[in-house]
Amino acid sequence: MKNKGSGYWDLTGGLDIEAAEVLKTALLDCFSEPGEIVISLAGVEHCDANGLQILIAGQRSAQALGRAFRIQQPSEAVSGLARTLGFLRDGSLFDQRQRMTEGGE
Amino acid sequence: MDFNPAETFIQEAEDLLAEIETCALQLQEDFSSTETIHQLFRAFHTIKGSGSMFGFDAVASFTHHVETLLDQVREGQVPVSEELCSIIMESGDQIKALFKASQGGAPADAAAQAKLLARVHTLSATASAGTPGQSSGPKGAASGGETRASSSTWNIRFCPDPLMLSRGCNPELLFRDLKRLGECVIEGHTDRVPALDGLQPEHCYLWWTIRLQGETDSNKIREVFMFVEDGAQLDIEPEAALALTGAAVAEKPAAGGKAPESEARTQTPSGGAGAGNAGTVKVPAARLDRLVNLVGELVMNHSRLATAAARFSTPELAGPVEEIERLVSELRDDVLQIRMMPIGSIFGRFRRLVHDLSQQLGKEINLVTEGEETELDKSILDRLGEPLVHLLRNSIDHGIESPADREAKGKSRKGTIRLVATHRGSDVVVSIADDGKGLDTAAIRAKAVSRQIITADAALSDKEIFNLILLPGFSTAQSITSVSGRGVGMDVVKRQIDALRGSLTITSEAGRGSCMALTLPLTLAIIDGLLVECGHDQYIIPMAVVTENVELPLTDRERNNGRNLVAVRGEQIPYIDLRKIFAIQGAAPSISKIVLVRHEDQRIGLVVDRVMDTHQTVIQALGPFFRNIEVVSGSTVMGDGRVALILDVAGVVRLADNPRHRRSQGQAAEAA
Repeated sequence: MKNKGSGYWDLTGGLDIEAAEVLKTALLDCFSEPGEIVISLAGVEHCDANGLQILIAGQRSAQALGRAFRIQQPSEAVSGLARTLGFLRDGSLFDQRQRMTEGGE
Repeated sequence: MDFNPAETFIQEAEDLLAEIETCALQLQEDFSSTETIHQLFRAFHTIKGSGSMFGFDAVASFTHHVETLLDQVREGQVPVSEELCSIIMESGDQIKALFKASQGGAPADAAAQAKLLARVHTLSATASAGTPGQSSGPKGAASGGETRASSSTWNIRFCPDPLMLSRGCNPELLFRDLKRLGECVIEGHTDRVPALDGLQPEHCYLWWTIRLQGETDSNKIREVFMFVEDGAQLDIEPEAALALTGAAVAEKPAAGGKAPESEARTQTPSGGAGAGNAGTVKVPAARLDRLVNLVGELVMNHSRLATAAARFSTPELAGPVEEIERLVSELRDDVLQIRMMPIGSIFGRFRRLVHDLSQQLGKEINLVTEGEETELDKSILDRLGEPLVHLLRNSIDHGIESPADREAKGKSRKGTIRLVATHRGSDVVVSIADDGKGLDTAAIRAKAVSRQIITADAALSDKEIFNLILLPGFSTAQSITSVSGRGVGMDVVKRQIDALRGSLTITSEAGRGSCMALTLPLTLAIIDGLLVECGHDQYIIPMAVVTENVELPLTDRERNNGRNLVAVRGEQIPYIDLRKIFAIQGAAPSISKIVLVRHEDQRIGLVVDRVMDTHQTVIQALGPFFRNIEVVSGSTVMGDGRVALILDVAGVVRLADNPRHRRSQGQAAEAA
């Protein structure tokens, strides 16, 4: 996961059980910096249910800390899985309150 | 994480194969049992699916054919028959052979497999010829409510086991299979996912509600979840039922809704009411054995600590030592309890044995089992199978008569063997009783005379005659069969039971049947023992066989003039001098002790220098170098660090009875 500056993070490669522990630590690091957290999923090549859970857990942490947390530009790997597992509703990932669409903001 | 899914699958497959065997035998008794057919199908389906997943391709490929046949039986296209039951049992055997082969064992018999598959296909081919639904297959019986296949809507709620994802199960594939059954609306729920700091990344916190519309039934839906059902909560309900069952169901989340708080609490991924057997953990037996050994070491070291604390009279130590004693005692009891298993776990295999042997011998036999829930230490159960198999074989081969003979004697054609386990005090009694012809005392006596074991005029009770069959090489069988009658059996059984610190009692009545009763301790890991001393050595005699202690003054010994007999309340009791038998140097004390023990309905004395105390003994197995020493069954370390050997009373008696040993003792006495 690369820090693109100003709270903008670029997630590439696998968003899956193999990377789950590393991603958890990386996301926790994101919260150590002030401001909004924006995570781009455009570079995610592979995704599984564990990977989706990490992102959901990130949303939970943000809610608990009163921080803005946005997920954007999910790759087909992410949106395809979210659709199959029933987490993509009205074009949104996970939660109706998160208005991040497949194409970005 | 130290987790090998393939190894876990092999263990599960063993359980499934045992289930297949039991179900096949049940089906043979009751052709109309729909649930048994479904159970069999699920077992084969799981073996096939998981086998394929873990690379056991030969197993998966073979099982596929049997599964297809069972599917036809489920659909009522192929009737249940003797041939089907036979195929199922033989298929189980073939799968076992394929597993062994895949683990480096002997290759499975390919010709036998080909023949078996030909039989599977022959039976399977009758399906297309027959009319679905008209056979005696189970489909007609499966007409109750929700299992009926028709175009309907199903509401499914699936809360997976927390470890589902880490086991490699992919919900994506699951839902793909589900979509094959009809149109699905899948809704994922995220309300149980914690914040990042509370998240265990490999656990599954997601759950789903699915609305499925199609021509299917609850069994087919459940089969999709077959591999992930353990530890999960799976509710499958027809939509109509949801509407009818009222308030109780209304509380369940409809598609898209959230689980009510109260329910969500009880079904959290970490367990709860819906978790089923999620609270059960499979642990390799070797780890439990190691745990028991470690607890044994702990008990012994606590004993040493307590001795040291008493010796140095340190009051500060007294409290903690007492507390440690309490904790160690609780830990020991709990750990030993973990190793206790129901004896029913080994009864299952005997059904197959009785089935196969009675067919082979042309006999009709009903095996009745009771007390399956009776628990014994796993180490005893592991060693109990072999002697029980031998006793059952004897009952089937020699005890139960042929159907014609039974009819001629006015008995039912079908003989009965009762395999019963019960608790008796601190022991478990396992008995095998048949209603066959009983032991032939005249034949046993004649054989014993011809082998010069007894004289022709020896006066023996029935019990003593029965016990003759326990002598090495004794057999009254007219011919040697592949089943039993090789004359090397009952003495081996007796030794195996002795090694378990158990005893074997034979009762029999001519024309009415025989009963072999094995009395066994609950555990081999710990015993109450009597600590005795001979010279500088300490020994433990199991309290279970000790009846009393008496004194033996040196003067009495000399008066007996070499005859090892002591009079106790008018009864002449033979005794064995441990000093002599173990060649212990030095003079015996002026007054020795005789510990009277019970051995095969007889009282025998063991002469020792001193009787010290009773002692709860954690048994340590002897190393391989000492394994053949018959007189000792184990050892233990005492509080002062000395090793005490645990005497095997049967072994001591055998050694004292051994003529070679008596000769060498005589020579030693002469030399002295």
